[in-house]
Amino acid sequence: MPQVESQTVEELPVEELKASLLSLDRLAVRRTMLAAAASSTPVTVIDSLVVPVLERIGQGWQAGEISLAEVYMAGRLVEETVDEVLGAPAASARASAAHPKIAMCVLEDSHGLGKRIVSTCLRVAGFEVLDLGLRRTVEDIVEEVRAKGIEILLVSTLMLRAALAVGTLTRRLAEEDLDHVKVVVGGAPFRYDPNLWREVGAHAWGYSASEAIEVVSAMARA
Amino acid sequence: MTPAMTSLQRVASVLSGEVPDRVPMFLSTGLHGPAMLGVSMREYFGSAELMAQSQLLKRETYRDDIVTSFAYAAAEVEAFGQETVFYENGPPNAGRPVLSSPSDIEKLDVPRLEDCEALQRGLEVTRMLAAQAPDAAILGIVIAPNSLPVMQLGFERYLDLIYEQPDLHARLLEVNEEFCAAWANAQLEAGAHAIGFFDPLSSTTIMPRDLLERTGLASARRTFCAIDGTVLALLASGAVIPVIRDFVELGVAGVGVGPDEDIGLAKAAAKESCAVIGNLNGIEMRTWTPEIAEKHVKNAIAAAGGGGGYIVCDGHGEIPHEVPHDVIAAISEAVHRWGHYPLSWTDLPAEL
Ligand code: B12
Repeated sequence: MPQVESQTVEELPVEELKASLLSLDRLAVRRTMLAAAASSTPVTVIDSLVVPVLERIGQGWQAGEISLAEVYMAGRLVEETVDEVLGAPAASARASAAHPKIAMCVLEDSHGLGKRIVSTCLRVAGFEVLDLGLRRTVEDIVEEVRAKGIEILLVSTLMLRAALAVGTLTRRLAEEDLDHVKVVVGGAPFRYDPNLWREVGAHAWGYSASEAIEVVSAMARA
Repeated sequence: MTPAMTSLQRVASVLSGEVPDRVPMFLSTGLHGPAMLGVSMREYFGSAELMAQSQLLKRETYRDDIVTSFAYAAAEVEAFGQETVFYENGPPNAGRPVLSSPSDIEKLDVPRLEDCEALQRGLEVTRMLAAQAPDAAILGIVIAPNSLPVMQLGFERYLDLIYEQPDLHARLLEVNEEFCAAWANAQLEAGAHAIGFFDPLSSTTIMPRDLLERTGLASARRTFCAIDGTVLALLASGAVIPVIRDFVELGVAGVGVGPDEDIGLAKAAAKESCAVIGNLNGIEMRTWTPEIAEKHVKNAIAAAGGGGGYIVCDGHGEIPHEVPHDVIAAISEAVHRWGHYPLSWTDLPAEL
């Protein structure tokens, strides 16, 4: 996490923003973000306000205190406000050239809500995420990863069938000499079987969307 | 320990708050049907005979108590004209949403059950089961009016609708409620003994409580009034404990509990007003050994079996087809071994 120049983490109103997001109070969200942006750099606002709020919301979902609908709506609202207050896209707030190339897809399946929530979180955290879409086959993804030089590939799944297909994907990436590509998985099957990500040869997994930020940040630093 | 009751009596006794001869179980292995019978998923789900046959075969193999006419969730949106996508290695899924924009809701009519082949097949399965397994409890399934729209519209657009267009949301619920009650009643008429009301959206995993009170729970209340039979609320492994009292007030006879929750706590929250059903982890089950399966069943019976009020089941209501036969057999064995009342072994110190 970069140095916070003008304010400490405590001084940025993390809890206040979280409460406004969960009550869908658009004006309060905007007010808090404008005030933060007036006294801190965009990167500080992202790292010390927006990301900690998303993390707390993710932890709240994991603990069963916050519902998925709230996670989704909060993500939408924070995305709109970050774009408006800090300038769209948020990713340009950082030196994005230094970032690895990240993409996200839904493998062999049409359940896109997980992808939407995770990519929104990553985007407002300052990462550019290329959307590879829904219902993609293993061979399509291998091709796209090669053609677009993807370095971190996020895969969202909902059905066990799709989660197991990640095993074929990681094997095919290795066969095509693309095993340097980091595969990060998530979605219901991985939550119910915490060993599944290893079994299918992924490099990491995340329980919630905000864990995706942690995992990707660590990979980007490495 | 000769069984004093038939499966139907055993399940009925639990659902009416009495203590049966043993803990009943529901091994929901519909997706194993094609492999059991050596046919493709497509062929299987296209034939009432094959689906009924696989239910009878699983009852013979695993000696469990409940059979079902449930095929796959997307069958209900077929009634609205939506396509289903079939896979050979997993359950069918709903295809592209039939409502391409929320404004389509204004023109949406309640479909007629007679016009939908998949639902007619479901009724046929129910009638076959009623004729051929008179001792078994037959469970019909409906998708709740507030959960169906995830398939009709897509999840994102449905959440947007709930928050942004409450009038259209209310109209969609109205159509779905009428459809849901008709579909439930047709299954009861065909011979189902109870209806499993699949409603994961009414779980606090998916929606906040205050919103649920105005939407999912209010809709469930209206729908239950129109269903002429016993209803079980199955939240497809979404959290149920925070809404268990609400469902009890709505008059359900049982609630499904997912693997994320403690089945003993759920039983306590139900306060003997309804049965708890669950909560073996169906996803992890794929990797269990028969010994691990027995341990999970024993623990669940110890936590929730006391004094009746409990049905052993996976936490979702559908065991993935990847789960091997010997694990399912071990679950059944364990229920037959440890599930007889009185459960005197549960008073002994736990084995390590
Ligand atoms: C709501 C629900 C339903 C609803 C709506 C489903 C839908 N989306 O279409 C209804 C009732 C229609 C339904 C039906 C079915 N369902 Co259902 N359903 C659920 C439930 C409760 C939530 C699913 C959901 O959409 N969640 C929303 C998404 C966004 O959550 P998520 O994927 O977990 O994502 C979060 C995190 O995991 C993470 N994340 C997601 N992706 C990624 C990626 C990365 C890289 C990272 C880091 C993180 C991450 O971020 C998200 C937000 O925090 C789950 C159980 C559960 N508690 O999760 C079962 C579940 C998904 N259903 C399941 C099944 C099997 C079905 C059916 C196939 C049943 C059948 N035979 O018909 C049908 C299919 C329906 C269809 N689409 O055709 C299974 C799937 C696993 C399996 N056994 O294969 C589940 C897991 C239940 C279980 N425990 O077994 N279902």
